[in-house]
Amino acid sequence: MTDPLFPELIEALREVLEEAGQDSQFDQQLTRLIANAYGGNADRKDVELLLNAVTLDAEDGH
Amino acid sequence: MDIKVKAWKAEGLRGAMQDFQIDLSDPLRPIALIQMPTGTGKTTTMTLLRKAFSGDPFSKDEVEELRAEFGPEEGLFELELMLDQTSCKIKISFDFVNLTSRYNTVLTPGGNRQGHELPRPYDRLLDKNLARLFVFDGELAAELRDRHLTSADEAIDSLYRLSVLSGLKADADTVLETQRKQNKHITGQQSNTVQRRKDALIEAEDRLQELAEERRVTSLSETTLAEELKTLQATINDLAEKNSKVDDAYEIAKGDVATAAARLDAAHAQVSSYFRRPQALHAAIGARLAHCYDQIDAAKLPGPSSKVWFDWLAEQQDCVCGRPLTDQKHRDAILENKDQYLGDEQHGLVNQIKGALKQGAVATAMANETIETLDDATSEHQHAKQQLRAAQDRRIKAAGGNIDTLRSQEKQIEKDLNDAQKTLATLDASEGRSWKDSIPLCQKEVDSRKEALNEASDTFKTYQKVKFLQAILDEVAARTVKKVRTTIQDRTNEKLAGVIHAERLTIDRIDRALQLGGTSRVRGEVSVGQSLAVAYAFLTSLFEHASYRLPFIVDSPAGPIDVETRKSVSKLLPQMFPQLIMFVQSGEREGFVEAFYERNDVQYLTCWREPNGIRTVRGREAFEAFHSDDDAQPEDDAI
Repeated sequence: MTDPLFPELIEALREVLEEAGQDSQFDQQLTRLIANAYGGNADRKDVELLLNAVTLDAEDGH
Repeated sequence: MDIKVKAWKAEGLRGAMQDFQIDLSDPLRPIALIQMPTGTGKTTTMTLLRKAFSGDPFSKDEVEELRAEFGPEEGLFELELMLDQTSCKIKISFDFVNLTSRYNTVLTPGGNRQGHELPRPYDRLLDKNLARLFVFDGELAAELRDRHLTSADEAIDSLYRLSVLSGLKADADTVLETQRKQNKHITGQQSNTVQRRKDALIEAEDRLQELAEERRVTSLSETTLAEELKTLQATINDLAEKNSKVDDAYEIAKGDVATAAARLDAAHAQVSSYFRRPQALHAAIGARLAHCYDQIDAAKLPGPSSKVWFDWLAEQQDCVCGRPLTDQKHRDAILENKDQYLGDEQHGLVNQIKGALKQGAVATAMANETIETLDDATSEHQHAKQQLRAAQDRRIKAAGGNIDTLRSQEKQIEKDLNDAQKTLATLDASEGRSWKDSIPLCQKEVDSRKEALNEASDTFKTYQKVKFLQAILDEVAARTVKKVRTTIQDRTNEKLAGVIHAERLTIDRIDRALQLGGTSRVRGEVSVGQSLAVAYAFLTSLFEHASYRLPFIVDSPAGPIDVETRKSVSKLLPQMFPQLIMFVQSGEREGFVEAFYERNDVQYLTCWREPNGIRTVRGREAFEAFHSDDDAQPEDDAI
């Protein structure tokens, strides 16, 4: 199967992640989640795992 | 992801669809030209194909429409597909007694499933909106350009499946809701608070939805009214211009309006420049900002707050408090702590602010003068327009035109437009408004009630994370749409240049609908054929780089298109779709069908109606010989 993500989405995602300032684990997880969702293989559990990887400003001392 | 149509058949349906089957399984001939005269069920077949792909349910009326008069109590439509390596039959069974329908899906491998149960990811892909694109609905060609509709955006959303991102947002909400329910340590009293806050949130969310709907409807109405007004005023202008009698007053009034408009533009530009100097806008603002400058100056800022100042201090004999700086450790302490104060950049910025505050004090008088000029220019422009209006009315009356009716219509539209604009401004305003009447305040109220609910239900942190993730997904979706629109617009324009040679036609922008440019924009309209060519250029651009390959099924693909454009379309379509199924009529041979005769990957099918259903014949010879008004039947073998 071809990559379910298309160039415009990949570019937009890269830009937004750069600005969001999360760690690389979050970036990878979100990219994988969106790819899986496009491929029809993502569920709520994956979203829950991703939420656990979110670092809020208050948590990292910003 | 590759989807191909292998065959379809209909049994026991109305008219010619009592017994009808088409086999397109020849892998070497992915292009099918199917000649079906009017009355053989093309429209019904297209509708059934769209439904079979998407699993869209049938209403009772729709089932009734398929029932054959004096026909059987049951009917069937079956679509056979290849979903990559999986063979798939989608069966729709009709019960004409109870007017119901049911789907059944047979997968090989995979077995028999009740309902429209395609395997993943095809189930997420094939929805009603997408089916309209590739089982092409002729009405879509006009809708794509209708600014009151959002078909172009919907087409992009469907094909690029941006709903996937909304789905993830909804999943995040569900995670939060589940966590809220699972918080078992919440006491009875807390539970009451949670319920109360939940109700309050629902109230605010409902109100926000109502306001958003009111805004949407009013905005559409505003667009329509503005267009109606523009058209009506163009009509009045045309009528006035058509009167060829020499009329000096009219010509002078036209010249005066142009001069006044130029003065008004210049005054606007000058006033706009003062928005960058807020002191100039009003004496009170100027006085407050001057006071701010005095305060900063009195505090000797940025001097004592900057790192440089501490560098200077560390080199002095005495501190500013008068004590001698004899001990080196005091000097070291000053240098160690200097980083807590303003760096070079911040120091420079504070100085810039001071400079700007100081300069601004002189601008107020100049601004007052410019605003007076703007007032004068506005009055002059209004007066000139009134004069022109009177001159127009005289000319139209002199030519026997009914200007009073037109002016009365204009007045009514202007009033309605003004009302719509006021409503929009009211909905978007915050100051002095209640949250129940203002969209921004209502949105704030929803956010605040959400926070209150999450605090009460001990899910505040998860809520913040959900909000963060949803904001990221929204931003990704917004940027993706913008980028896709640009890509599709460029590709569509490239194709249009190759398809329509007679005049330059371009897409200026995609905003809800396709906004046309080029020479046709001046005329304000395009022909049905051009509209179809624009739709093909747009759709092929959409499908061209999608990560899945779909067939394109179209009824009368070249009907309204001129012969020259037909040739280009006949080259464009096969390049863009891996499978092309076209229902054609004998009138489409010239320029379009005949262009396919040179290819060796085309299968030709000719269908005509017989008492018990449709008879189908294969082969180019029969295809070429057939005319819909011929009674004679082709000689080839029937399937």
